[in-house]
Parts: sequence; C-alpha cells; structure tokens
Amino acid sequence: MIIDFNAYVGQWPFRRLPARSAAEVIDLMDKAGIDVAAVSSLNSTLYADPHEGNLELLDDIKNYGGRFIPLAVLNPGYPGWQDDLEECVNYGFKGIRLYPQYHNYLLANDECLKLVKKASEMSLSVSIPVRLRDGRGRHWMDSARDISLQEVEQLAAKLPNSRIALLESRDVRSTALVKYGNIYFETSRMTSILGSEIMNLIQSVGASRLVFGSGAPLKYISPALLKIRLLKESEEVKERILWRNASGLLGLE
Amino acid sequence: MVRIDCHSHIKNKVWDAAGITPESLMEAADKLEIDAFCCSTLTFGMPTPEEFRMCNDVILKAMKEYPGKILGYCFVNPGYQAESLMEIEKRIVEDGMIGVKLYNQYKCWDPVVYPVVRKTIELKVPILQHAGYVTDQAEASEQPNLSNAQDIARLAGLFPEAMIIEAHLGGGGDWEWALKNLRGVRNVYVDTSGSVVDMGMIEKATKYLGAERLLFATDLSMEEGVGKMIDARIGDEEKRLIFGENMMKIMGMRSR
Repeated sequence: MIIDFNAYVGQWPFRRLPARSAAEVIDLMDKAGIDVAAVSSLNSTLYADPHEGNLELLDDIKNYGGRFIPLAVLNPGYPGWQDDLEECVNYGFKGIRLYPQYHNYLLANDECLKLVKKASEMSLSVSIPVRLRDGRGRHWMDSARDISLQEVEQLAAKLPNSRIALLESRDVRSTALVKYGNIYFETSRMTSILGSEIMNLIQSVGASRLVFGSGAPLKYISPALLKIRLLKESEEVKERILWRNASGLLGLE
Repeated sequence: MVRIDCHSHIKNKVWDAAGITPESLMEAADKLEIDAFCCSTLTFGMPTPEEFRMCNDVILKAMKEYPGKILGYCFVNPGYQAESLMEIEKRIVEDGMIGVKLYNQYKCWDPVVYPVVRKTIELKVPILQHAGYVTDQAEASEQPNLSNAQDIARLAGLFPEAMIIEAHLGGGGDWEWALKNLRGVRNVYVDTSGSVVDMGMIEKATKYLGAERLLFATDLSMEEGVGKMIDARIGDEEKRLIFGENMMKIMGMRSR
C-alpha cells in the first residue's frame, strides 16, 4: 500500500505538465504503484477564488472512487473561506492545503490562524508545500517565496492541536520544528542514500512523523519512491512512511 | 543496461562535497545499479595550479582504488594557461582521465579558455562545463561568470570539433530555455543531473536534442538522477543510450 501525500491535479501556469487531468494522474500512479493520492487543485494557486479549483477538482476525480483523497485549497485572506470550508467537508474533502506563497499571506496572521484552528476542530490536517517549484529557474511572473521554517514554527506553536504536514521540506533536523509533535514532514526533497537525511530525521522524531509524497505531476514520482524503498530501515518503518502515517492524517483509519 | 554517471564528485580537503567519498559512491552504486562514476573535485574562486593539481591527485587516488568504477575529469583553471595545458596532458595521457572539467571561473567563450578547448580537441576528450540559466537574480548574482546554454552554443560554434557537455539540466535553472538554445548545436551534449525532477524534463530533452546527445548523471542527487530516468516515457533503446552507451562512445574517441 502506498499513499502519495503530495500530489495535484490541474494546470501549472508556467509549464505544460505531462499529466493534468485526474485520468492522466491515475495513469502515473498506476505505473508507479501508487494506490491512493492526496490531491489538491493546482489551478487554485492563481485563481482569485481558490474554491473554484476545489469544485473543479471534485468534478474531475468523481469517477475514480477511493484512488484520490481531495484536499481543499483555501485562502484565509479571501472572503467566504468559512463557507467554503464547510462545503468542502460536506463534499468529503479530508484535509486542507495552503499555498500562502501564492495567496500572499503569512501563516501566523490572524485569518490564517482562524482557518487552521477551524480546520483542526473539524479533525482536518493542514498541508503546506514549502514550494511548488525550484526557484532557480522560476518564471519571471512567479515570484512566490519559499515558506520559511520560522513561519511554520509560529503556526505550530500557536495551534498545538493542529496537525501540519510540511511538504517539500528538507534540512529540518537541526531546526526547532522537530520539537513540535504536531508537525509532519514529507520526504521527497530529503536525501536518503547519500546524506541519510531521512534516516537521521527518523532518529530525531521517530517514524510516525514522516510521510511519503512525490510532488506529482509537477515532479517525477520515482525519485521520491526510491528514497523510501532504499532506506536502511525495517519494513514496518517504511510502511509507516509510505502509507500508515498519511492514512492517519487523512482520517482514513 | 549500463549506467554511467557522467557527472559526479568526491570531496577534497578544501571542498566537503557533502562529505562524499569514493566509498559512499560505491554504496550508492550498489543500491542504484550504477556501473561507473565520472568524477571531479573542485575548489572555488580562482584556484591556483597547486589547488587544481591537488584536486586531480584526489581523483587519481580514487581511480586507483576503484579502477573502472571511478573515472576522472581533470579540473583546471584556464586563467593559468601553461599550467592548465600541462596538467591536462599529464592527467589525460599519463593518468587516464576521461575529460576536462571547467567551472565558473570564466565564461566558456572567453578567449582565455580557447587553449584548453583546443587541447581537448587534440586529445578528443569532452569538456564537462558547469552551466545554468538562473532566472532568479539573487541566485544568479552568486555566479557572475556562470555559462548558460547560449554561451555554450557560442563556444560550440567557434569550435565545432569540440565535445562539450552542458552540466546538470536539472540543476541549472530554466531547463526548457537551455533545450531551446541547444537544439541545433550538434557538438553539445547535455547531462541530466541535478536535484530538479520536473516531470517531462527527460522526454522534452529527448525530443529536442535526441537521445544520442543526452547523458545520464546525478551530480550527487542520486535518487533524483536515477528516478527521473526510470519514469521518463521514452523508449528502452533511448534509455540505453542515455544511461551509458553515449558516454561509452564519447570515451572511446580519445586519441591517446
């Protein structure tokens, strides 16, 4: 069993992706052996009202049963997120995903805290990608910052009952984030064979706070998968990272 | 399917290279089924002849410890012309290194580089040219003499007999821009290395350059390097070329 906790459906405005629709993402998942993917709308990165992307996503994935777990993209700086959140829960969304670097707010601002608090009260986890692309080759109109770890720490400290999954994270072992039990780390950018970052992080925080994700279809899937498969860890630890922890975050258990 | 990583590194006493030793490369080789690594080691700024000789000594030692598994690039600073040419002659002809590694000391088309290029043409060995088109200004300012694909195309036009490898398609910024610039430049190869694993990169590179001009590499991003090749939706024959046969062909061209 493998759950990809970091996947998307939709268009990326700055590059033509090889897979954009749910059907195309399913094809990728099948080839890579991914059973289930937690997905959010990529279209919502630049929509003024990101909730429109949630509704598009829902329509696109409706024929694929349990293969996709939808996560709602909400912008706490845009009116009506409370209603949108309620609607998403009613539609079966199992978590929220925030893009503060594209929606122009800080994680610790008041509205964002309200949103994360509300989501947490509804037992929804909150996933936040540090970035959606490597900044070195960014399009000139894509000025989104990488999310700072200090921002994430502030959020985690202010809302200890939240469950925050930091996607595209790396170099976290020596940061304050490791002491917050409510922060989970997605592993696709960490080193495995050379550098052993994943193994060291397991030693620091335990295997229960790491989740596998790929970044597909923005990124190839196999690089992230190899990092877990080739870990010098027990099968039990790998299972935790590959699906059990994600299953808990998504409320599937 | 032979896998030759055409862009790798090991540490030296000045540059830590993430602590990578020949032994750690061998461990990665076992796990990722890599048959050989083409390695250099560097120092930064304006390396003196003593520094680049030290680097090449480190590589030679690794080559002797792991014959056939670690292959060497001779690193030089073209600003030291006489010393660089002597070093290349010695390392390629006497020590059996497979090519020359150039970093960012000069733009690759700077006339100071020409004697080095002529030497590689004489020896029929490739130049692995550190490169990138970094669109983020803050990042770009860190390497003012970083060569990009246009620079490399310019050099390739000046020396059509040279074999130039543009380094790290996945670590040099806007890779689509690089491919557009190098499409018709027949004497430039591109290595696939780098931490960037944008889906579609290898397919588009194959479409624009042809599999014959792509070389598998990691630049120490190990799972990324192998994983992007595994996922690429290209034919097995194309993968065979990229994974190792193209590099074997290049290495078979040497004159001495």
